[in-house]
Parts: sequence; C-alpha cells; structure tokens
Amino acid sequence: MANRKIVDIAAVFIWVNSHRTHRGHRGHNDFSVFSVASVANRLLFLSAIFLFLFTPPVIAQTIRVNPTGVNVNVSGATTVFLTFGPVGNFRPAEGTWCGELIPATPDNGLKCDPATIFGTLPGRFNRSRSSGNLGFTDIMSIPPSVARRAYQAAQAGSVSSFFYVRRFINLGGGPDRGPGGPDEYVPVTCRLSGGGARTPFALTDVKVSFDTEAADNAIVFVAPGRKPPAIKARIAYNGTGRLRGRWELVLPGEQPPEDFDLLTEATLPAEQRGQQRRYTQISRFNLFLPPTGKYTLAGPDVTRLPTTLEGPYLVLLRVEATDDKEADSDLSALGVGAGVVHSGAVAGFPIPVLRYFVGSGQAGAPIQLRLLTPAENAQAAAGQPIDFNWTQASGAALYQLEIADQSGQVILSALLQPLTLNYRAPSWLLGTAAGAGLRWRVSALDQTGAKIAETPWRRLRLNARPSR
Amino acid sequence: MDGIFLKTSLQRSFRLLGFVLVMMSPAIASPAAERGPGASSQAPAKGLVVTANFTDQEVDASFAITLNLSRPLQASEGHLAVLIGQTDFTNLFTPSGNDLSYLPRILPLPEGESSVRVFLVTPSNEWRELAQLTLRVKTPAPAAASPKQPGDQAQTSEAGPAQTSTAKKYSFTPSLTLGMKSQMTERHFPDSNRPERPTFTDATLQASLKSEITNGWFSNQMQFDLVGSEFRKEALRFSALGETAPKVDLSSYLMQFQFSKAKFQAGHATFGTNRHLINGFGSRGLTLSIPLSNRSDLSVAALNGSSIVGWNNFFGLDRRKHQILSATLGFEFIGQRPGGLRLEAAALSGSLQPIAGFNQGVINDAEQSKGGSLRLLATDKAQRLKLEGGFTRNLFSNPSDPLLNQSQPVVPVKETTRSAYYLDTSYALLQNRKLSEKTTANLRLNYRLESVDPLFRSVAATTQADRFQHELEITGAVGEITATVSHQQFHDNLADIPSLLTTLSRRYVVVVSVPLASLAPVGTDGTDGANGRNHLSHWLPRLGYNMSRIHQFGRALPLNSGFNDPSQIPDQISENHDFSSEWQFQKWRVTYRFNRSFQDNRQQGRVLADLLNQIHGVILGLTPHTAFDLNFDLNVESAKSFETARVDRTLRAGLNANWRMTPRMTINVTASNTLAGDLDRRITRSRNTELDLQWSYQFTRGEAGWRKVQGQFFIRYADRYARTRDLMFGLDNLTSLKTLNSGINFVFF
Repeated sequence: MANRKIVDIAAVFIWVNSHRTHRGHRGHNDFSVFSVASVANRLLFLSAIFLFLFTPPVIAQTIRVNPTGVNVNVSGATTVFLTFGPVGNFRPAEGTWCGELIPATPDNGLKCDPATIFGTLPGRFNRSRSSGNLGFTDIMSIPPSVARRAYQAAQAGSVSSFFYVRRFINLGGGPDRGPGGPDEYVPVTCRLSGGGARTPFALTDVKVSFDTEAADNAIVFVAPGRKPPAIKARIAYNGTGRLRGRWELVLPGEQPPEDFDLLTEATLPAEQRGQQRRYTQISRFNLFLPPTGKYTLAGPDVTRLPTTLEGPYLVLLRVEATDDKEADSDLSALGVGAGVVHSGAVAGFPIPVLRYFVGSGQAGAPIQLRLLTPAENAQAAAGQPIDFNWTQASGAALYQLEIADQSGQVILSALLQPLTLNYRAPSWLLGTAAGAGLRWRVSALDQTGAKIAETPWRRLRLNARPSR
Repeated sequence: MDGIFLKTSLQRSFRLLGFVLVMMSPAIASPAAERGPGASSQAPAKGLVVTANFTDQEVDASFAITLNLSRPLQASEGHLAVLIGQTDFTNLFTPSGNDLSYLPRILPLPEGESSVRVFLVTPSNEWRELAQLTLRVKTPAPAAASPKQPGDQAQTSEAGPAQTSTAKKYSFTPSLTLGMKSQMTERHFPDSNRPERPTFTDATLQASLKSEITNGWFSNQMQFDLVGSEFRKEALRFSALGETAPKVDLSSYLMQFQFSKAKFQAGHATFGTNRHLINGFGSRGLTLSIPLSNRSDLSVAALNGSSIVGWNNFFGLDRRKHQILSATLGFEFIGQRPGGLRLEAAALSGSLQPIAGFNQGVINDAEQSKGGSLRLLATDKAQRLKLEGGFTRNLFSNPSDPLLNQSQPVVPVKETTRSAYYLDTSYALLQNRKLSEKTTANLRLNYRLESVDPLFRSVAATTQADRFQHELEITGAVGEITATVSHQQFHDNLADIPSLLTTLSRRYVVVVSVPLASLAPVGTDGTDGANGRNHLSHWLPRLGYNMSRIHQFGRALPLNSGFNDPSQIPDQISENHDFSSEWQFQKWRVTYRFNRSFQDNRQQGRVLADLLNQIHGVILGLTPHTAFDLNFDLNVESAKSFETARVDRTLRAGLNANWRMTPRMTINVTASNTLAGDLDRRITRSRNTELDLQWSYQFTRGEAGWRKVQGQFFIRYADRYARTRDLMFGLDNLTSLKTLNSGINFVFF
C-alpha cells in the first residue's frame, strides 16, 4: 500500500511539473521529472510527502490505466484500446475529454476542469466491458470535434494535449473501505499528432459496398447463376500496421451475427476474442497499411460467392487483432493480467455488413456469361486494335456488346451471332473517346429478343491519340 | 488567425490559378475542330460503290436489307462493316456474291429514320467510310406497340432527334421470391455457445418491380426492391430501430425521368466531382441534370446526409439537419471538343447529424458546412497535356450535440472558414511511339499538388485536413509491360503552431507488371492462338511487383504539448514488398503471392519495436468439367516482433467445390482450417475449422411469364469448431456448433 501511495504522489508531481512546464516555461524543453528541481517543486514534493504521511489511506487511488498517454489524430477521429484496473468495488461511469485537470478532492485522482470540457464519450461509441481479473476494457473513440476543440485551444496558446478521464463510482463494501467512499478519476493524456506512425492503429471509418454502376450499394439483387458486383471496403484509419482478417458469408437459413460478432477482434478483451461466432470463410486477407490514413480493401473474388441457391446472403468483413506497439495495453502493469494485449485494428463500431439476395432467375442450368478481356480497368494501347472477348451463355440467340462513355451514353453497340464471342472495335473508336474512360458489357438475348443475361459493366481506359 | 489563413490561402490560390492558366494556354490555342466517329480522311477504295434496296422508300421492321457492291471485294482490301445508327450489324449480314443481306429474324429494324453507314475495314483495321444511306422504318400504331419490342436496340442505337421522337418502349418486370428456411437441429459446446434459437422456421420474401417507358422525347425507368423476413433481427433496419423495425422493407429504389436531354432521378444516387467540396457523395435523394446549351450544363442535388434504406424518409429529405444540397454549373469553352477546356462551379450547403450510413461504421459528429468550389479541366487536342485543378473555400462548424455534451457546459467549436486546392497535371513524354510493328511505348509524367488548410472540412467529401503534399510520378508502358515510379512528400501543421507536432513523410512507390508471354518470341511456324505466340508462352506467368517505402518522422519535440519523451515522436520507416505471379489455362489457374512488410522504428526508446511480416499465398483453381469447379487456397503467414522476440504463424487451408450433378441438382462443399500460434514458446495456439455441405435441387412449373414458378429446395450441414489456448492469459476456450438447416424457395415470374 505504501508503495502504491508513493507512486500516486509521484504521478501527481509529474502532472504538476508537466503543466508547470507547459504553462510558464514555453522555451524550456525538459523531459526529466527531477531535473527541474526548482525550490517550488521541492516544497511541493515535501508537502506531498507530508500529506502522504498524515492523511487517511482512503484517498489513495487504486485504479490505473494502460496506456497512460497516446498520440491522437488532430484532424480526425481516434480510437484507442485502454485497460483500467483493478476496478474492485467500483463501477465505471462516464468518460470525459477536457483541456485541463484539477484535483478531484474529495474524490481520488484528477478530474476535468469544468471550464475546459470538450465532450463526453457518446453512448453509441461506448464499447467498454469488464475483462479478466478486475480489469475494465475501454474503447476510447474520440470524435473529430473533440480534437478540433483541442486544436483551437492550442491555437489560442493553451497546451496542445488534452485528457480523457474515466470516472469510477465507489460502490463501497470492499475489505478496506466503507460504503460510499470516494469515487476515482483516472486520466489518459491525448497528445495531438498527425495521426500517422506512433498513433494506435485503429479503424475510424469503414464503408463496405458493392461497386455497382450507378452508386455504391449495400444491397443488391442477383439472379441465380449470376455473380454479384465487385465488393470493396473504403477504410479510414490512424496509425499503421497489418490489416488482417477474413471475408465470411452468412448463408440463407443461418442465424445472423450479433453486434458482438461484428466488432473487430481488437475491440474485445483478450478472453472474449475467441467467442465471436464464425461463418463460412470465403477468403483471407493480410495487408500492410502505410501511415497515410486511407485504404480501399478489395473484396473477395465474387466468383467465389455462391449464387445458385435463392435467398439472403450476408457478406462479413472480419478483422483480426494484430501486433501494434502503439495499441498495446499492458495488463501486468495494472495487476489485472499477466501480459500485453495486442489491439492493432481496433474500431469503435461494429463493421457493417453487405447483403445480396439471390432470386427471380432462370430455370435450368445457370447462365455463365462473363467478360474475359480486356480486363477491368485495362488500358487499351493506342495503335493496337481493341478486341472484346466474353464467354458463351447457354440459350443465347444473339449477343449485344455495348460500349458507353463515362456519362453512361452508349456510343457504340454491336450485335453478334451466338457462336461469335469476340468483337474488334472500329479504329475510330479511339479517336472518339481518346484519353477518356469507357465502359463495356455484353448481354445475351434469346430467340424473342429478350435479355436473358447481362454482365456488369467493365471499365476500359483509352490511350490518347488523335483520330485519323 | 482566420485572416492569416485567408490571406495565405488567397495568395496560394492566385499563384495556382496563374500557373493553371499558363499551363492551359497550349490547349486553348490548339484548333478545336474535330471529326466525328467514322469520318475518314482517306479516300475510299477505288471504284467501289455501295447501293441498297431500301433507299427512297419506307420499309417494315422485318424488311430484308440488301447492300450491293459495284465490284467484288479483294481479300487484300479487307471486309465491309455495316452500322445502323450506332449499332454494328456486320456480323448478322450474309455475303452472297457482290451482295450483303440481313433478314431481321430476332430483332426488328429500329423504327423511324436511321443512318446506315458502310465501311471498308482494311486488314490493319482502318475503317474507311464508303457510303452513308438513310433507312426509314415504318412506325407501328401505338396499340401495336409490344413489350417485346427490342428496346435494347432502340436504346443503344443512339438515334438523333428524328429517330428518338418515334422510338417507343414499354416494359414491366415484376419478380417475387418467397422462402421458408429452418434450422432443424443443432449441437453446441459449451452451453454458453448455445444459439439464441436452437431451432426455428422463418418465412422470407424478396421482390422487385422494374418498369421502363420510352416514348419519343420522354423516358422513364423505375425499380423498387423489397426484402422481408419473419425473424425481426433479420429486418433491414433492426440495428437502427430494434423491435420496431418493419419486417418487410424497401431495400432500394430508383426512379428516373428523362425529358429530352434533361434527367431527373429520385432514389439512390451519387453526386459531385469536386474533390474537396462534394465528391462522389452517394445517398438517397433527388438529382436533376439539365443541359442549358451546347456548352453549359447544370446539375442539382438534394440528398440525405447518409445512405439509408426503408420506407421512411422516402425521398431522403425529411430531416433538414441531415441533408446535403448542392449544385454544379459546367461550361465547355471548346464546344467541338468536350473536356478540352471545362470549368465547373459548385456550391454546397449541408448539415449532418451523428448518424452512420446503412453500410458504414464511423466515429462522427454533428457537422455543418457551406462552401463553393471551382474546378478546371483542360487537355490539348492530342491529349498529351492534361490539367485538372480545383479550389474550394468552405465554412464549417460543429453544432451543439446533446449526445456529446450530455448536459455539461462544453467548450464550443469556433466556426472556421478554410481553403483547399489541388492541381493534377500530366504530360505524355512518349505517346504511342512505335518500337516495332506490334510494340508501342508510352511514357507519362504526372505531378500532383494538394493543400488542405488546418480544420478544413466539408460534410460531403473525405479530406485529410492540415496537409500539404507533392507527388511526382512517371508511368510507362512498353507493349504490355507497365511500370510506375512515384515519389510523394507531405507534411502537416501548416499553421506552424509551436505546440503541435509537425510530421513529415517521404514515400516512394514502384509498381511493375510484366506478362512474360508478351516477351516470348512469336512462333516461326505461323501463329498459335489469338496472340500468335508459341505453345510455351502459355506457361509463362503474368508477374507483378509492388514496392512502397515510407519514412514518417516528427520534426522536433513540440513545446507545451504533452510530449515529454522522444519515444513519443514518430520516426518510422515502413517497407512493403508485394510479388505476384499468375498462370491461366483453359481448365486451371494458379496464383502465387508473396508479401513482406517491415516496420522499422528509429526513435529513441523504440529502436527495437520493429515488426516483420511475411506471407505466402497460393490459389489453385480447377475446372475439369463445365459441371465441376474447385478452388484450393493455402496461406502461410508469419509475424515477427523483434522487441519480444516472438514469431506468430498462421496457416490456413481452404477448399471450395461446386458440382452441378444435373442441370437441377448441385452439391457445394466449403471447408477451411486455420492454425495459429507462436512458434518458439508455444504460449498461444488456436485452431478454427469450418465445414459446409449443401445439396440443392431446382424445379420449375409453368412455362413463362405469370404462370411460371421456379422453386428450389436445399439442405445444409454446417460444422464450426474453434479452440484457443493462451498460457499468458490462462485461456482455454473450446467452442463448437453443428447445425442442420433446410429451406425451400419459390420464385414467381
């Protein structure tokens, strides 16, 4: 207990010294606690020792946090995995961001100065949960407006760092404290940075969609045997690290996932990570994300997505925890566990799901009309003929190739007999749309002229060349 | 401070605009004339005259067209091509002596007046126009208009006003799928892994309604998609509305009305091309685009603040505090060459509540912004020089958010007006330079500049504020071999606030793609296949290599900042190498991928905090028969932490097979097994195994249209097994779940 008190007093001393440095000694750049051994500091330290010796043990703060300080994104959102503990007979209450701290007397610790409050953790981002041996896992999701307030305070001359303070309500009844004892306030320092390297690797905005012609859709209808449009996930993130995980599929008839299952693995305490429900695995990904803040993750190969069975399908983006030094939370430092929890790719929200519905298709064998070449987004070499190729579709009496410009206007089409599975574009096509992007697709028509199959649009880039 | 930003922004903007104008001058000065498609500067083949049997008369839609050549065409001259409107019918014409004829059996001729152009296509694929004729096809009476009218033909024939004024099309396509799914039995371990519903039977529904009307200058397309489930948790909006979510809901809809060239849309739409103001913003709402003249156009949009589904807020405009209003006015300075020099002015007023889109997870806020933007695009006639630049000025604020304030006095966010601009330029140093008969070379130099002020934010664009960046890039191609090399520099803290950390970044990227088959010598004994290369070339893979290196570091320890240790200042070099090779054959394909990344921390106190990741991945795809396909994946991943001297390995094998036993019966198998753990100390071990076996049978009753019912029955066994052991945390979790599901679906129409 005495050691704990000394640590607490030292922490108060560090905080006071730090803020003294920030406020009054702008030009003084000193990191060491004890090298700034001014007379005032010594007196303060002696006073603290005096207080330690003559105050009752109830004021000692027992709950600590790891990590105690993090770099956060000044121009956007930030999410950090924090562990508090040991929480004992305390119940976690609100988490508040603020510019300055004041002693929480008569409670324990340091709480927010009411004049500098930047906000309180909104309920929609509160993913906190009890964990392990008296631990409390908190996912601190800082909305951009909080960092904005901190930036504007720094612009006005204040310290650029700010604080996140979790309050723990004393429930009493513990072995060493009576009922209704003091609450505890536990601060975490948030240092403003660019949100790149040295900031915990976290996902702050994830948007998954089908890459359809008109817009990015979350829901598509697919005829049996046809393939859904390509899938992509646009991700905004802080820090840098490996993005590792799986694309999974919830098949018709399966129980849908709960929010718990949709959280990234790093958002959960270590012992709960294995309890997320798994579904049919389509493919796996493991990529390095550089400290640049944005990435578009390509979805699974859509030819691997089943479309023979009618019904609703859910495509899940499952993100696994990775090793990221900045996102580590050391449980042993808090006495609530034996090691370090790795929390790379934490996110303060469930990852959204994609839906596709298979139905209203053709009877009999599935139609397998697919585009072959040019590949998606291929660049047509100027001076070379452009040959379009596709696969055969059962039941086709005619094929119709359509070539459209970027506005969707069809600039050329061709009708071809069922045994013809290719088309060479006219030489003047390049001159018509040189340097621009085109899209092309193929439809299969039956004997009545009705469309029985149609491929998605595929993009084609044209090299510039004057028309001849 | 705002004044300083305004001044510096304006100075930068003037410099930018001046630079843009100087760079644009060649494009403006270049002649604007351009020939349309099909125009040929070369003389037609000598003595070759084309006549037709449909000139000077109005014909039926089933009229057999015959084209007559004045003399036989020599093989060395090439062949003929026939375009009716914008549709190439060549492949449907039958040659006979000096004649070419086409009898419309499946698709009738396009109604109204169409141009028929006959080309001579030389062996080198040069299209030279021989004749342009006019085809007049009788328009049937309105009552005779049938849904079977080949509307696609009319739609794609890109007719002029004379033709579109008579084109008609009506179609109405409903579809309905009703299903019943059930879980007949399940087994689980332990009890905590018990599913919420061990057994169940649910009804499901999906329906869509499409209609299309084209009548002269007016056209309309509509589509409504509905989904439903008896189980409330499967309702589309369960996560937002909980138990009040409707079980049958609108998943998406689109109504499009076109009046001549003006287009009005209601439903899910995407709007905006201004990078910093509104850029590809997709949501439900209304959009309108009107060509004001041959050179100018106007687009207007009113959209919901985030993507939504459901019946409520049908037009997306119910919540004033959660919507985007925007308009873009575009003007083409060179009428004959759209895109040659185009200026767009856009304005936006938007307000967002802290609501995530339907397919989005995000840490967000209540936000408001108003702004304007200019965007300029220019190219010279040869497309050698391309320029795109934009400047945006925006007013942003965070209105009071009760969910963030929670009844406390919160420091208000000051309203800020900030600027952003960008310039993308590129110049083709080599453009289609012929190296040999079949090989050309291209080399393009790109330069990109972007500056976004601190605190800049528009509600309809994703922008990283407080950043200034340059990028220089060279892209080249020799034949099918392509390569890109780029260097990028960016930094933040543009306002030079002393208490803020300034981070600098330097990034290099190299991307190379080499289809080795393109390097193989052409067979001496003639051609082999479409590419004219020898047999061995099939065995040569397509290779790809991608390298990126980024060094990100803090300029110095900022004062008055909370940074009190050099280890808190970033100084990291990250390298990522990605190599891939792909073999493609008719019945099988193989892909191998290797990835290596190394994060090297260099700041004091973190020198050892380095991470090395390596991945080997193999995908094998087999299609030995049209009724059977199989995919096999193997992934070996390793992650080494130098600080903890620990290496974690992941090994995953996956299998997916589809066997269409008969046209109606299919068996699917999906299996995967993932093993993970640390190599040396064996502190953590985990194993995940998933297996799915599914049999489905399809049946049909009725023939077509309203009488047709298609059904499908399935039965599936799924087995999930997971075991995680962690000696450090004292964990030993084993969960397993086996389920047997079945279902039946009926598809109507």
